Amino acid sequence: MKRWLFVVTALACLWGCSDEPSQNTSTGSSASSSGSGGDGSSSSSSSGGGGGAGGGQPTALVPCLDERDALLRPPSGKLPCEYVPPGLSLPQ
Amino acid sequence: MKHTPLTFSILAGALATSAAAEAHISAVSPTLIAGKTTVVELSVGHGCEGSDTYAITVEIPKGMISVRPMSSDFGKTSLTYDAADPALVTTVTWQKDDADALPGDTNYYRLAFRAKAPSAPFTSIYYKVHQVCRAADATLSYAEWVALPGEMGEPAAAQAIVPDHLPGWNKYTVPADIADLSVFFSDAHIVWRGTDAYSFNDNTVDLIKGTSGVTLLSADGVKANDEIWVRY
Repeated sequence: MKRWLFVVTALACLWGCSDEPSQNTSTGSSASSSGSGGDGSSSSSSSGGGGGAGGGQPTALVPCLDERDALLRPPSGKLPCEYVPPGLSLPQ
Repeated sequence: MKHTPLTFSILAGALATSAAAEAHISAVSPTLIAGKTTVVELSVGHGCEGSDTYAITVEIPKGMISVRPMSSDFGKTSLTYDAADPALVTTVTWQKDDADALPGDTNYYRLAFRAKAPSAPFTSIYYKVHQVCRAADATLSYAEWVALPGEMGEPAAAQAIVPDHLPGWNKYTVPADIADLSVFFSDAHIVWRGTDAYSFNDNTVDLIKGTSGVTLLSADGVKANDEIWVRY
């Protein structure tokens, strides 16, 4: 009798425990995709804006645009964007 | 080429002379910020011809207020005040007890006081320092570090007063001609006046030279009323 009760309790617990992770998994994946979606949309809108500005204004002077990986290595040849003061446009 | 003991002796002598010439009484920090309270620290590199430093008196420059000296290896301090304004400290003296004087010139000292700097950016401030040394036989000797730029003698300790600034871009209108940008901007990444740029860093100077549309700003190229951008 006692053994039968133990088996039923164990099965109920297993069912309950296996249910929780499935809910967590679905919540977690939703948050994760929302985060990466945010990054992705931010990134794409940013690059889209940059492309639009570059393509739409074929002028000789352009504002200095930061590159995403510009700080990963030392600058070479010319001044990096972060060394050009606000409002100054240099010939490209 | 053979290196004889004489060669090494001459080389060692030259190096020692060079080190002694560098070991003045000087300010540890080359700059201080206009109108800000700060700790001014003076470095005492050596004593007087083999004798340990026994006392140091610093003349507080005009415009520097709220002076409070810090205790040091020299122990207690003593102050003098302006006759017209008794709240204004005019000199600070650090003096050892006789028993604390060392038998020889073996030690390096730092002496500090807290003070509020004058609101006079792009100028320099000078601390005239009087040094007293005491030999093992209690003989006293003296050194005067009081010469201002252009004067003969041992130079007074100096600091450049820089404008208040934050990391990133700072914009200033210069109140007077700047004779040497390196005095005020050796710790800045880059200084701009229009499309002219200056940096104390040789690598950045190379980048300036390699950037089209930018010309190198000479160290004496900033004049009164010029507007400059400085990145720290």
